[in-house]
Amino acid sequence: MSDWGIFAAMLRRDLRIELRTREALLAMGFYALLVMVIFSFAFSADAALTARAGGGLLWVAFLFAALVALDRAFLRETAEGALVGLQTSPAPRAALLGGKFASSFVLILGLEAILLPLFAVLFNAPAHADWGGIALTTVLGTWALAANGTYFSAMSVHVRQRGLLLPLLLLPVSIPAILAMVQATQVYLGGEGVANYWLQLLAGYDIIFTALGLMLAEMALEVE
Amino acid sequence: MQPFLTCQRVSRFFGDAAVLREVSFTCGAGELVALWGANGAGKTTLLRVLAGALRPTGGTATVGGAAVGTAAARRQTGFLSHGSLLHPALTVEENLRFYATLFALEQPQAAVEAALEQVRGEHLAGRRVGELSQGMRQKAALARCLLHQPRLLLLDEPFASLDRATVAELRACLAGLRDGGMTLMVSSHQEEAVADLATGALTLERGRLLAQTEEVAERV
Repeated sequence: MSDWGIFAAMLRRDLRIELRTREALLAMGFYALLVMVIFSFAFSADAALTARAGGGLLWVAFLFAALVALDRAFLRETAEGALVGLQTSPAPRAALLGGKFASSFVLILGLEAILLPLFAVLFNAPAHADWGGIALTTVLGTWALAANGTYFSAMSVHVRQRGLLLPLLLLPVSIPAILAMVQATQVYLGGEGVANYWLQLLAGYDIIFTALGLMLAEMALEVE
Repeated sequence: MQPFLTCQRVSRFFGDAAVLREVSFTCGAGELVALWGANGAGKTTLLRVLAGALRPTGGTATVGGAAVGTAAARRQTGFLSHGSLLHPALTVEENLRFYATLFALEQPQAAVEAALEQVRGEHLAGRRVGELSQGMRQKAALARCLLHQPRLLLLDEPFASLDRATVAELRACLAGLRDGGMTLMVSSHQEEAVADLATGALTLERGRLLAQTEEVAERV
């Protein structure tokens, strides 16, 4: 069995567990929806304001959803000691971590696909907004959060204050990516600037941090 | 006999607390070694170190010549832990197929069926692990351990919370594995369940190996 086979098995297994339990999906959806609704109450549905600040509002909601999903990524492995099963198997760590990353990425992206139209309605997004560009930014931005978040989720799974540690580790490292995703979304919503520059930054960030995560996978899944 | 499992001055600390202190022993292939000791003696820690689930703080251990913790050693080792290591939301078959992939087995479905047959657990295949009784869960966990046909099987309190009939079934299974040439190490507080199966015993006390004996049955 190739590493890709193990990667695919991990991805299938995690998605199957999530579809059966819906633990992460419900929590992610609830938090993201709450953030969007509260922001929509605070800011009037004004297309001009959305063009100026919508990128930030959207990514706060996506970030909350991502943090919930990433926290759960390895938490679900603590049931019945399943993590020990992964650690005592001879499977390459990069394939295991890659599969975990892919399942988190798919879950977060799936929820974002539902939230994006809701955002357009709640915030009266400008008619001339470039939704293709926003979708591309969402894919690249979610990739960045899932790649780093999966890695830190594995590292922090045994820590008692895991819920606090994950954002403390993830957010500082993700600042360049967060800046790029907010700025690119802002431009596509009708703001000023050049989106391509931010997209290139985001794509470069994704490549570097995905490669780093896979190279250091052994450390993330190391036994105590 | 060439030792199959070797442990040389293996120590494990948790912070400042020494849970294993320079434990050394060897086991030959086809032996069933009982692991005795009171709670906190270090039995679980020793088994976890040998399974590659914990790193030793000092010393070395090998399984079939491969250093513990390497992929080569993991391929030869099965570990029955306190938890089943199976995800409760998945069926027994789904869990076992996943592990078959992790161990790169060429015919995963055939391996799953053979492992379930070996523990007489064919009827469990389609049931979710979270819905199983303790005895059924233990059978499913044992099937997971046997899936890749390991040469070393480490069992941590395998008889805990099992009724008499299930203990008898499990004992028959372990005797069959021993007679088939597998090396087994079994920790248990139920000495009567293991003693007559064992070909040798290790006794731990506060992390130190007190004795390695071959006269197990006399003890009970």
